[in-house]
Amino acid sequence: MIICNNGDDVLEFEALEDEDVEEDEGLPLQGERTRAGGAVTGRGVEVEWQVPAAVSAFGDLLEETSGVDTNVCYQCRKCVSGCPVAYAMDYTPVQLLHAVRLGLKDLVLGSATIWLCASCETCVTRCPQNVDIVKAMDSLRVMALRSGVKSAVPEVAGFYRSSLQNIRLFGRMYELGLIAQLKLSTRQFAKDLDLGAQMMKKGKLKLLPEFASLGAARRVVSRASKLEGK
Amino acid sequence: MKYAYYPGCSLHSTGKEYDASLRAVCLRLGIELVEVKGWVCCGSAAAHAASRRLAVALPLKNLAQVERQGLEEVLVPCAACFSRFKFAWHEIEGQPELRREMEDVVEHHFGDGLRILHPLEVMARDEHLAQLASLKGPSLAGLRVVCYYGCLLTRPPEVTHFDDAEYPQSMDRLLSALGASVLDWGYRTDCCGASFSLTRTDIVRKLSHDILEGAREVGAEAIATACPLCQLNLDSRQREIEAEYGTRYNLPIYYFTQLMGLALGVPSRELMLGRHFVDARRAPEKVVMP
Ligand code: SF4
Ligand code: SF4
Repeated sequence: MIICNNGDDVLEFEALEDEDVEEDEGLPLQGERTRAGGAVTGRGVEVEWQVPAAVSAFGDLLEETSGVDTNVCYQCRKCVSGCPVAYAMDYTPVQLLHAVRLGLKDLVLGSATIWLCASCETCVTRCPQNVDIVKAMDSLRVMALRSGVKSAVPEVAGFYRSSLQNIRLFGRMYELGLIAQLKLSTRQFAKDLDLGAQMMKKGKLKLLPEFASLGAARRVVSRASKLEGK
Repeated sequence: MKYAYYPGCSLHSTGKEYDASLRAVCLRLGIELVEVKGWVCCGSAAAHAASRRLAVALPLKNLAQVERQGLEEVLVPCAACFSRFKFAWHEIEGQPELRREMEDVVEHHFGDGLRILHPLEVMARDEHLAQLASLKGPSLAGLRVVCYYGCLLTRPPEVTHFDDAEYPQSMDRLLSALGASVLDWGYRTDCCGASFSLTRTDIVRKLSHDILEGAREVGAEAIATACPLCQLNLDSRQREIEAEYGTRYNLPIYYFTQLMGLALGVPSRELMLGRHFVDARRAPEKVVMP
């Protein structure tokens, strides 16, 4: 017997027996899709539950491309409390997920948040509902890059573009090339000049790219791109 | 013991000390490293923001190469590469259709024995700890150090299967076995902002500042790292951070392999201690000779 003292009312519940749990087979497990409705009985009360299906077409699109169902998020905000970059974001990760559910596509793809997520996996590791926020962010960035939305943090979007080009061009990272390309695209020529010079002095930057695996890298990039249909 | 070795882009440039010290330590411990032939970039910096399939395909290309060289275990010292490799493997293990697709892309059929390991995982095994403890070499007894694992090594646990996601201990155990005074602290798995190294350095400075401050609060004289991006951030940006926050840390940032090297009697030149931004040549003075 479980007794809950709820101010004026004292509620009594029968403790759950193992057999009762059997009856609850219809209950969704953590992180599982919960699109169907149902009724839970076994404690003297009957609770109807229903998670609405297809809240927004945008949410469905995200689920299709990333496998992440934003509808299972119950807005507990544990993800935000551990997020090291939340302080710099325009929408916290949980707000962004909710915006996805509401179908606010322009807000989401135009947000700074999708570019400021550091992919540190803290939120994913701690989420009680196994919502893979990093995978969602990845897909949202891909969507934003492909749809040509103006990025709220252009230097980060530019970095992703340049890095990819770097892999295509050289097969391995060529930092100097990447830095030069970034400087050209962001026009921040003075940024980190001093640090760069010191790195050169310490021999921490290769002067020339390595082409050791260029052919192999190109082959993988082109075959993978073909699968993505572009 | 023989492992395939995937250095990744960083260990060929900004993290050469990591490469050199890891090779030196393995040599002394009787571990043979075979560099993956014709390895390609794992795409850690960008591929996941461009295409889900490419992010999986690039690491798999390297893993295919490992199997082709007749090996099953590969050491991946960069935490970012390690994470991409683990993710790629996790993805194809759970999705047979994706696996077929990807095997087609990388033109290789994978067996089941493949294992992706971080060197820390291997070195902190009981057999190596015992081996290290039995060496009557120099000891790190004079060094008060905190172990910084960074974000990607342990997270998420169902993908990386590495130590504990919130409170890892392998590096602590390893350096303790070498005699160091390893201090407890709260920042072992916090993010240093590595993905913004070249773009939003304001974020890097803030996050790295918090980590340095955490280390100072417990009285550490040095930080040990297991990732070339973490090392570079904490080391090369330290002067800027000090200027911005009006404070002075002067904390040398070591690769755990460099500290191991010192305890194994590897000359500091071979460990490239002179290449750091914050003078790292102090640790050898702390080493207690037998
Ligand atoms: S931690 Fe998970 S369930 Fe909680 S708000 Fe964040 S995403 Fe939603
Ligand atoms: S992965 Fe992104 S959203 Fe999640 S905690 Fe890290 S920075 Fe925040």
